[in-house]
Amino acid sequence: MKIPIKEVIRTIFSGISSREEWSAIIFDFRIPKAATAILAGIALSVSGLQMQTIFRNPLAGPYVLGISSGASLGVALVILGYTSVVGNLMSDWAGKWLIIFASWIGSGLVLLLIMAVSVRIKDIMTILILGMMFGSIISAIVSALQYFSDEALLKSYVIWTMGSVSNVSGNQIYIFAACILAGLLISLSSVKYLNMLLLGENYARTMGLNIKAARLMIFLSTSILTGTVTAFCGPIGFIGIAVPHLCRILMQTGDQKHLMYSSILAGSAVMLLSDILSLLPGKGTVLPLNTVTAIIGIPIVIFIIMKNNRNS
Amino acid sequence: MDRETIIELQNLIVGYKKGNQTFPVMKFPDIKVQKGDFIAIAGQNGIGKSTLIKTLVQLIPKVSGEVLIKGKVSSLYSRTKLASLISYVSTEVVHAQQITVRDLVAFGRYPYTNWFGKIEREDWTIIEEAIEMLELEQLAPRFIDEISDGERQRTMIARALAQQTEVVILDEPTAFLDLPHKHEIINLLGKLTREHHKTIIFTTHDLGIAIREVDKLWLLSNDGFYNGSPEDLILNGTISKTFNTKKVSFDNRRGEFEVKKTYKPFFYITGKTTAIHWTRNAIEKDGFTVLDKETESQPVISIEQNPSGYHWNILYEGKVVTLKSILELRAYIRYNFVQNNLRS
Repeated sequence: MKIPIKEVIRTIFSGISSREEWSAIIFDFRIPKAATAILAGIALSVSGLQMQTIFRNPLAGPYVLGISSGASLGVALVILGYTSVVGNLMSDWAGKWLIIFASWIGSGLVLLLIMAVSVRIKDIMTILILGMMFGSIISAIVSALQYFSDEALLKSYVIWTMGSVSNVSGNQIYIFAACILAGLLISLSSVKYLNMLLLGENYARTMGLNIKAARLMIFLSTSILTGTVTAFCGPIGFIGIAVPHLCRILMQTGDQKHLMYSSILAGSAVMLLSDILSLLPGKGTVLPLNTVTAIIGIPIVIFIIMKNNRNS
Repeated sequence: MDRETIIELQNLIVGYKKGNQTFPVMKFPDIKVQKGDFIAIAGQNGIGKSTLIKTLVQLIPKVSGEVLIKGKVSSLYSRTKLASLISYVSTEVVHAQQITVRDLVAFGRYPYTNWFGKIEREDWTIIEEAIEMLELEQLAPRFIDEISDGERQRTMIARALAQQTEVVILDEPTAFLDLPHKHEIINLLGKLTREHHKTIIFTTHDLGIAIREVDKLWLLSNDGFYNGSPEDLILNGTISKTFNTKKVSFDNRRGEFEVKKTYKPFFYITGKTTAIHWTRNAIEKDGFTVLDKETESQPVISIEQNPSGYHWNILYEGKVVTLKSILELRAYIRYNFVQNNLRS
């Protein structure tokens, strides 16, 4: 549906449109979709930044702890397991909420596991490896579920894994926004800790940092942010890895405060851009969101690897 | 006048844990560290210097005993409170990318900032002072991953100063530094104890430099722990006893280590003091030591100076050989004397 720009602006500011369905399209679909894209972009970029700093690894991203795997398991169980009994859940309202809750519970369980591990284990690299291993085990279970499920259900699951910002509608957007803002607040209050962690854990501790509390806070915010995005939009790749690096290159600083602000801005911009590109302007078809984020994100990731390689 | 006691060790045993087992590394007698003390910790590799330091800054738990800081058991302090009392500089290399020297020094203010880490105007005054003290003004806008190890070490020390703690504890602060900067840093630390009444404890392998500057030396050895002024420890022979190995000995007069010579005294050298010093330095490399008095039978090297430079005359068995450089002298000595002057 094509709506002239003038009309869009008028509708947004006055609330009235020359054709009634246009205002419905703008307020019920396009604005929630744009808001979802902005919030998801912010959440993934901020989480990615936190994970890269805490694990001191430039290739870490929001999903490095296995949160998306947890969410996938929840969703796979619902779509591939439960749905076969009740009917297709993707279409109706209750079904969407069920998927969101399943995904939340999945990522929440992974979060609890990571928290339990990080209280006992000191070495951050061990935590990273365990996170990745949890993720792999869960993915294996999901693969098994896929293998035994029938084709139609498999397709709806695969569509979920491709990511989309257009499924958040109606009241969902408020809950989505509230969760992202809560996660973001925790992230913003951990910038000081992230800066201290740049110097390594020993220095951070002698500068007054309680490492365990800081880790719990950072893991909690990452899980809330990425868990929520995954629940509402599916797993969206590469944004979380690429955007913090884009900011490092543009801002020429390692200060986490500046990087977090700029990741919020750049994350929302890149996500909106990805969504626009996925619509293939002028054509009627829609590309899966993850293909677009991969096409935008992978060149940035390759650039970083090459740059690091040159430096060392 | 008795100074305030800042740190107190009581029956302290330091060590490390592996699984459920503890491995004690070193036991200490009761020691009091007073405000303004300037203390160097020395001892061979692996004796427990870093373990002690990490225990003092609460990075590793003690095995038994207590560390009191300002009269209170150190583990009872919160991390933030402790960070306002003790700052720490380690040998770890910080690899943060795109962090400037100024940013890093500013991180020293974190124990005092709000939850968001906001650096206020008063903080900046303190930060700039610390930068000035370590002569980092030129480097301040540079990234820390683009400067040398020594410059980074000075940055870390500036950060510790910006932390404005009564006690500064440093693990081998001179490790990455060139010789002039080694002297400068130790001298600066000494100044901080005298002029700013800071208490400074550091480990070092540069014993010669430490002896010239510190008030107290803590010697860690296999026989135990020695605490005293470096001069006392030299005079009562503790330093030589602690460090002497089969091949290296501590020269009590010069305050430096020397490789033990296995040859008999051989030459007598005459000439100007500086020239004698460096000639001696050269021939000792070939294992010859130098006589204190001239004797009839031993060869003599007499050093003379004329406008074209130094030359060396070797007088032995009634002959005189003149050589124009130390390089020639060593070649001559090696060819003519090494074979007929066997090891004792």
